Amino acid sequence: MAWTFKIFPSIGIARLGNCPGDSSSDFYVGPEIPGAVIVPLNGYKDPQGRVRRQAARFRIFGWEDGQFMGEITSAVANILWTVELANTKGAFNQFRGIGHTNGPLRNASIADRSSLKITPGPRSIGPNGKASFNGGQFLSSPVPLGELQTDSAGRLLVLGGFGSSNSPINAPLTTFANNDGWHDDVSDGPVTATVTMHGNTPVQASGAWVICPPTRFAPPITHPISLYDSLLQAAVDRLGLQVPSQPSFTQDVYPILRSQFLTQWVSSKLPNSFYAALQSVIPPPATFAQRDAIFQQFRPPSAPPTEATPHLLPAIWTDYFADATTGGWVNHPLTVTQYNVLQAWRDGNFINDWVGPPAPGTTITPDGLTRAALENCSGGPFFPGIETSFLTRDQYPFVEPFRLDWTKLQAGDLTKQNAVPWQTDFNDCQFQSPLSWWPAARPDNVFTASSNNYVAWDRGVKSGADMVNFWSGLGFLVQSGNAVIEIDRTL
Amino acid sequence: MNRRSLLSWLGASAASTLTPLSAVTAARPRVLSLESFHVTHPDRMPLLHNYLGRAILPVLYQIHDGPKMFLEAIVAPQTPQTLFLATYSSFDEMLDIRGRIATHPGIRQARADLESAHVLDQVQSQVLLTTHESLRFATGSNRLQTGVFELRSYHAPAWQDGPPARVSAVLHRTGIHPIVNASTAVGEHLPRFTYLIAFESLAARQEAWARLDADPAWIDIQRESLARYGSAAKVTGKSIYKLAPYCQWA
Repeated sequence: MAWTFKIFPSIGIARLGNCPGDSSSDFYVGPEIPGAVIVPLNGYKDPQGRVRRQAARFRIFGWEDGQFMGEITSAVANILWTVELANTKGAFNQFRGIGHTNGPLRNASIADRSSLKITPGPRSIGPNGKASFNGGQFLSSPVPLGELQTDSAGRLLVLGGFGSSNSPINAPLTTFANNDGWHDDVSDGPVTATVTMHGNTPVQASGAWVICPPTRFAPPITHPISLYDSLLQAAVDRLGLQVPSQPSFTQDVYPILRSQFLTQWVSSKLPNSFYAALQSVIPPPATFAQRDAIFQQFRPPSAPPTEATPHLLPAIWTDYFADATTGGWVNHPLTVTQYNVLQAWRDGNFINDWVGPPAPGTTITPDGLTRAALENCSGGPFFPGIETSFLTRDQYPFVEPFRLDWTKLQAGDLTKQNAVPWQTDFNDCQFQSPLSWWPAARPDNVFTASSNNYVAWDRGVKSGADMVNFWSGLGFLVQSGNAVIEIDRTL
Repeated sequence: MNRRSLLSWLGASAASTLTPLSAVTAARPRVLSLESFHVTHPDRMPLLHNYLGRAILPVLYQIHDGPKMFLEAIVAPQTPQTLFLATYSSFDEMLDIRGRIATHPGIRQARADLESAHVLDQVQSQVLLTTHESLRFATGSNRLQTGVFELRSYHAPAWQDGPPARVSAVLHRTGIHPIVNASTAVGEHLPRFTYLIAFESLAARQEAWARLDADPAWIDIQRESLARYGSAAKVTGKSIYKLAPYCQWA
């Protein structure tokens, strides 16, 4: 009679917000069911126009003698959670592209490297507990990174930072990714738990990781390549995970096509011809020629990084952007798994299970928690990335699909290669002819409730400094009938 | 089965309090109904409790005197969940009781309220056949009011005619005393047997199963099954419950 426990999601996402409170009305819990879009009942912003934080909720699931038993709550166990958050961007390498992992250090002139790391240390809480990640400093300036709390069932809620970026030495903002003397309050770190079933000895649960990245302003818009897609590919490549050879149209093909379709709400650049072609293949099966017309619009992952294909999809820049060693002025391909799904579909080797667009489920499952968290994150291009960097996809060890080896990584590792502060990258990475960067994370063009014409999402923000100061005034995108429109803009 | 039909099914189900053993043996029930109600959100559990405890329960109390109980899942593959367990003397009695509940005006209104509040995600139903040694509901015992109940299913090719007597003996010897023991007539993993077992606590449960796993007689039974049928008795599902707040043990 042996119990094993795992924490889910294996990677959770707690997003920044400048609404400072930690009562339940001050934040909302992020998506926990794949496909679900969270619209807080009291809005993304509070009455003062401040952005509510998105909490990451972690749960324990148990297996008894290898048999899945379900969620373990405080009804049957004592759960002691331990989380460590850190921001070590300032002490890491400058971002120079993913081909240059040994770039010069940020803040190279500062000898005391520990003064550049915001490391408040681990915090542990039990039932009905609370803890704050205060105490970390950047160049002797305090930088709070967020809080923890547990709910009535003993589940863990992680709340990240406040979107506060600053330079204690009044340094200027000079680049999109490497601004010496600056910090932000993005963070990440391991989530572990000790579970004591009543009458049993304590057992350490398989650990998870939490990332506290920037706000997601366009929740209804799915990423062409999500972090779920990228880490699924990492599991295939590095762990030997097998994926079904015959994809489901509804579950596998449609989401890829849909993400391209949704891009129209955040970018004015997708060709109208694609929408017309898309209408010819839904509902399936369509003809080979119709499917092939769609398939041929996607860049093959096998295309050399030097081969420019700006006319192909996804219409987003590459990991190798501006890399002189690869000539990388090209767009980012789908993952091999995504591309294989489309190819199988094109060839007619798919399950036609279409009964209409799939509605999100209603059941919380362990894998669903992870997928819901990761499908809302960018899986590329990692230049350097929104939630995490290429290091996570390409280098960090996993103990199983989507579960990093939490014992071999340090708090801060998942975000240390990202831009510092994040706002300068957010400001720079708008549409850059002929491609976009991350329109699902950082919209380029949007519609308002009163306009049928595109407007720039970041209108009024003219610099990295403006983004540092005014990011929370930017609007959120919500579904409105068949359209997606901007709301809650307070600039 | 869509949500509407599930709710119709729900309307034909009900619950009450546990019934003393004497009543069980007198009625010799033969059919066991298990219905699990999954709610859309934990916040809606009180609405389900209201429906089951305040609308269904009083009516069922009047029209069905067989064993019945409500259990709330504390560890199960899908939570939140309430399990309604009832036994009937025959399929005809089960259908009759369900029909009377479904047409009761108060319950119909309560069911409509439940549906409009989007309380239920799904309802799963099983109808099992009891064995002769089943339904050992305790009388007047308060010890399980705060205890736990485990619903455990075995796929056991060697038990074609029901669990052998020596299986029951070893279970009892190791502190595992099923309240209910039933077999599945139609479905996967046949022959399949479902036990509902009461334990004083999770710790007592853990200890009892550990004793069973180490018991030489049980090891022999499993070894013989493996040798003769190619498979020992395997657990195909298990969930742990507590009594629902409106379900009294005695």
